[in-house]
Amino acid sequence: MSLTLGTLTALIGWLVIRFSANYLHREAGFHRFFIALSFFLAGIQFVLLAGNGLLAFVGWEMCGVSSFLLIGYAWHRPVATGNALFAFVTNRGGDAGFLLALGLAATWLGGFEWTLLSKASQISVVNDRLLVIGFVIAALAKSAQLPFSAWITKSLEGPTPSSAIFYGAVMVHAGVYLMLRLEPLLLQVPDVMFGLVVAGVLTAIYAWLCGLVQTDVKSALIFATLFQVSLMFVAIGLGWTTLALVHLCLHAGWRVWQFLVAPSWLVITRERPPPPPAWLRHNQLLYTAALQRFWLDKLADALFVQPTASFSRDAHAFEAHFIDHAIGQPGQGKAVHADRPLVVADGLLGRLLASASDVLQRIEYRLLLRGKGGTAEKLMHRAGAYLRTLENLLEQPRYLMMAVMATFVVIL
Amino acid sequence: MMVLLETLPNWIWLVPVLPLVAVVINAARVLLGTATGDAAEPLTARLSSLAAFGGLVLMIAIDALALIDAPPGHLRLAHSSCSTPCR
Repeated sequence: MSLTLGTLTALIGWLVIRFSANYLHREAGFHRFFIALSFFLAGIQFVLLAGNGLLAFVGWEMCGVSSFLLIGYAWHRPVATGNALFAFVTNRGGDAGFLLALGLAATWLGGFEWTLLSKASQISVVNDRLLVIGFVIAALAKSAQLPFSAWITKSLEGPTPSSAIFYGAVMVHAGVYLMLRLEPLLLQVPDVMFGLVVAGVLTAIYAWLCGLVQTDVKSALIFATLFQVSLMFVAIGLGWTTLALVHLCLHAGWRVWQFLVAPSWLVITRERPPPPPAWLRHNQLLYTAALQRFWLDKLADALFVQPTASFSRDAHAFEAHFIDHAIGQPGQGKAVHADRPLVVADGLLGRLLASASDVLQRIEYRLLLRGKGGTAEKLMHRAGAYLRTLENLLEQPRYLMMAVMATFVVIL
Repeated sequence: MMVLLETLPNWIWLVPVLPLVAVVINAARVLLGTATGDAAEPLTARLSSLAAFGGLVLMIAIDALALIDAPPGHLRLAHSSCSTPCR
C-alpha cells in the first residue's frame, strides 16, 4: 500500500510542480511556493513510507506547516492569513490526537512500529480503544471529516496548484491512509469502526448539501472531494479497506486533474453553474443551512480560532507590557536624565547599566575632573600639610638623632 | 548491476530526502539573494522538478523490484523505542 500511494504521490507531485512553473510565472512568491511545495512532498512521503508512527508524525507536521504556508501565500491579505490560521489551529486538534496515541503506544506497547501497533491485542480493550481513538481523531482532522470539516473550505485561499495537491489529491487522503495502515488495530474495536461510518455518513450529507449550493468551481470541487473522502471512511468503517484504497487512488488522480483545470473551467464549459435543485430551494431552513455551511465555520471559529487569537493577543500584551520593559528594545532608548540627553537606555537591564554608568561618571567627576575646590583637591592639600609638618619635625636635631638611633636599633 | 538492483530498495529513504535537498538549496539561494526576479525562476522550478522526478523514478524502480519479490526497506526512527528487534 505504501509503495502504491508513494508512487502515485510522487507522480502527482512531479506533475503539479511542472504545472506550477508556468502557472505561477512572475508571481511575487514564486520561490517561496516551490520551497513550500517541495517541503510538503518530503513530508507526505515520510508519512507514506515511514515504518513507524513517530516518523509518520514528523511528516504529518511537515504537511501541516507547508499547508499553513501555502494558504497564507498572499500574506498581505488579511483573509489569507486568517484562513491559514483557521486551518492551522483546527489541524492541531487532530495532531493532539496523534500525539496522544503515540504516547499511549509508547507506554503500553513500548514502541511506535506499525507492526507493533497491529498486534495491540496484548493490551486491554479499553486501552486499545483509547489508542485507536487518538489515531481516528488525527485522521478525521486531516481528512476534514465532521466535526473538523470547516477548515478545508478556507484552505482554498492558496494558489490553485497547491489546492490541487493538498486538498484535492494528496493531503486530504492522509487520514484515509492512516486508517488503512492501522486496519488490524481498527478491526479489534468494532464500535470505533461504527463511529467512522457515522462520521463518514454525516460528512457525506453535509458535503452533498453544501456542494449543491456552491456557485464557484473550487468550492464545488472541494465539497465533491469531501463527499468522496467521506465515502472512503464509510468503506473503512464497514471493513471494505481494499475498496477504500482503490477509491483513494482513482479519486486522487481524477481530482488533481479537475483542480488543475479549474481556472479554465468557464472557457471549457461556457455554461453558467446549474441552480440548486427545486426541492432544496423550497425547503428554506435546509437551503439556509446549506448556504451557511451548517454554521460550522462560525462554530469552529468560536471553539478553536478565537481562543487561540485571544491567547495570542494576551501573549502580545504581556510581551509589550512586561517583557519589552524588562529587556528593552533596540533603538527605543530614552534619556535617563533630562540634563544629559546623550545617555539613553531602555528596559530594566539597560536602565541599570545606565545608572551604574551615571554613578561612575559622578565619582570620576567629583574626585578627578572637577576643578579648584573639589573633594580630591582638598584631600591632597590636607595630605600635603601633614607631610610638610612631618618634614619640619624631622629637620630638628633631636628628632634627627632619634631617627638615626632607631635606624641603628633596627640594623642591630 | 544486479548488486545495485538488489540494494535499490534500501535507497527508498531518498524519496522524501530528495525534495528536502531541493528545499535546502532553494532556501539557501533565496537567503543569499541569488534567487530574485524572473531570471531565477527556471532554476528554482527545475531543482524542485528534478527532485520530484528523481523520487518518482526511484519509486517506480522499487515498485518493479517489489513485483519480483524484493521487499522494500522501511524508514526507521527512534530505534531505541523498538520492543522487538528492528530490521
